[in-house]
Amino acid sequence: MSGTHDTIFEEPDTTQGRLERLGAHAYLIVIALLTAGPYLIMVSISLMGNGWNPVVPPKLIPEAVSLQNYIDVWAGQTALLDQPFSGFFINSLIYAVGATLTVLVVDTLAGYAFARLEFAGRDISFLAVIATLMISPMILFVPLYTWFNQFGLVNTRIGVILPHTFTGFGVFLMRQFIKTLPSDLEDAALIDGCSRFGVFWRVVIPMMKPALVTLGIITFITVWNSFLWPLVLARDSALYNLPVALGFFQGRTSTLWAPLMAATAITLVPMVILFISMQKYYVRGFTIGGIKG
Amino acid sequence: MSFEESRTDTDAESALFEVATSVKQQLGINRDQDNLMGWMFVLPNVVMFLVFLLGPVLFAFFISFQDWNILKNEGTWVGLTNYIEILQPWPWENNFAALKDPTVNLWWYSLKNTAVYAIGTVPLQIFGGLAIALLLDKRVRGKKIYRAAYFMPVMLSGAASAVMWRWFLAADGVINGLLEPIGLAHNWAGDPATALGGVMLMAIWGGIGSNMIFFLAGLQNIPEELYEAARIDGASDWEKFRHVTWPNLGNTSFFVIVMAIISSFQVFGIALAFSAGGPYYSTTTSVLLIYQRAFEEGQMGVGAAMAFLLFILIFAFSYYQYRYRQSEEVDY
Repeated sequence: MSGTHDTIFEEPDTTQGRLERLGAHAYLIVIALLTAGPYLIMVSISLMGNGWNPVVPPKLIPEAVSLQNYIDVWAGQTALLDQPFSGFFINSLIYAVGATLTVLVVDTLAGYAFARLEFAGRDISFLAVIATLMISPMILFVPLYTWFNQFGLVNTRIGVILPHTFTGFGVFLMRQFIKTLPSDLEDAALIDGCSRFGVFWRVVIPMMKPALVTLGIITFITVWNSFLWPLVLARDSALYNLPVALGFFQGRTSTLWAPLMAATAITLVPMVILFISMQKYYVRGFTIGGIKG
Repeated sequence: MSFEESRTDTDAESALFEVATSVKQQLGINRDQDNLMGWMFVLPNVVMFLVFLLGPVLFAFFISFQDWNILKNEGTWVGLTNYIEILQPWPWENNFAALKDPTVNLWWYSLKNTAVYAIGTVPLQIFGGLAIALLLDKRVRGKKIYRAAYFMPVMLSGAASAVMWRWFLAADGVINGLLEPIGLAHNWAGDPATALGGVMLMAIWGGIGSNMIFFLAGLQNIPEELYEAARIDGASDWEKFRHVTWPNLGNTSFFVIVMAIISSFQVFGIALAFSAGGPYYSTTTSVLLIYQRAFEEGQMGVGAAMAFLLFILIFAFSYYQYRYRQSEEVDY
């Protein structure tokens, strides 16, 4: 990351400078323990093959590390979960990938048109798309449910995906990003006789990697974690995604914490991999495309 | 069209092409083509906007005046009955009893819960995110690791983190295990007085990371020269923050504050997974109440009317903030 506005960390190598640096790191580490610490405890408990028992003081380090909880949860072999967790995992993956791909295609196309093309009704329709950011999704669920009920989309995978495919935020992000790109290359390609779509596909898309990654991650995380709509629409537990399955099974028990922690850890793994591998683009996509300070 | 598709390799040809293009622009031919192309590009998005957004909003408005039968997919017109049923008795009619007792009127009680939640979480989410972003904006070793650690809570779904926190705060959970020796053990999730506090704790913990990302992005857009100038003028760290960082973060802060307030009004998943609205309605937020009315009890008309009332409230808040910000900008 460029453009750092350093004060503390650029102090000269004096005793005072070193002390200040140490103090800042201590502060950062304490916060890191507060945010990431619960996950470490969660993972630690999930590795206790014999389960976790409440004792004072609480025992948080497993005596013997075992993946048994993960295996049981994944295959649906615990008293907590009578269905294999692998099915919920696959559902989550289908929903997230399906919605993300659709959003990327639709929002990039629209973002390009809003940024570069002049057409009748452009400004008013862009404004309408932006206004949607203010609308509470809750208001949409009652009518969408009744419509989906009518068209036989309740309790289907496609029904779970569809409402996630419209995002005003995505269009806004794509438009802002394309506006920051120099248009000389596109003009040159147009003059060379490239079609509008050719320009979009061969010139604009290759320059959009940070924005595509950012929107892709945001959409993927949102849909992977979505709770209310899948809860409402998936009547059959075979269609549950991971958060709904977790919330649902949690109500049934209060004691089987170790397998429950393993189940929770499973929902988190893809997100962590996604964020860590893409975090360079993620912050940059926001910086360029987004909300300028 | 065939003219545009042919390649122009020589200078003469490209000069001719430029003349032709400018003639076409004069005649408005390019405009027409952009009209068609523009609408083709935005068509999928517009269709989705109409089907998944504008349509449902209008239909929700319609349903809110109906006694809607979910099985038959039809309703009977009942006028304002749903709204009256939700809103009455008005809080001032009975000395604001609804704010203390959920059995008087659950809508007002749920709004009180939502307001308490919003007031308790939004400032801490925002200032926490800003404080961390300010520290991480410096040249610090291990920045990537810190950033990933702070972003962890954002990645876990509300429902999943509720499961985790439920365990931390359970009667026989870890936090009580630590508090028991000093005599402070308590059934946090099971006591109406503390259950909402548990939900709020979870929300603050989960909300700081995403605000941090927004503020980090905003900080990177502040030109380095401004800090250079402040340094030459001998400004202290606080003065730099007060006169350079904060004014230049205006748009980011506005965005973050509006989004935080909007999402705090929509809190649902964590309250449902943490305590299912209980004990004794202490974590029944407005959206949770809408969910229960519409999808658990099948009263779609009442649910839609509640959703609309909440929408008006959120819209009014966002609009007020927008106006307030505009009036503030004049001062600069």
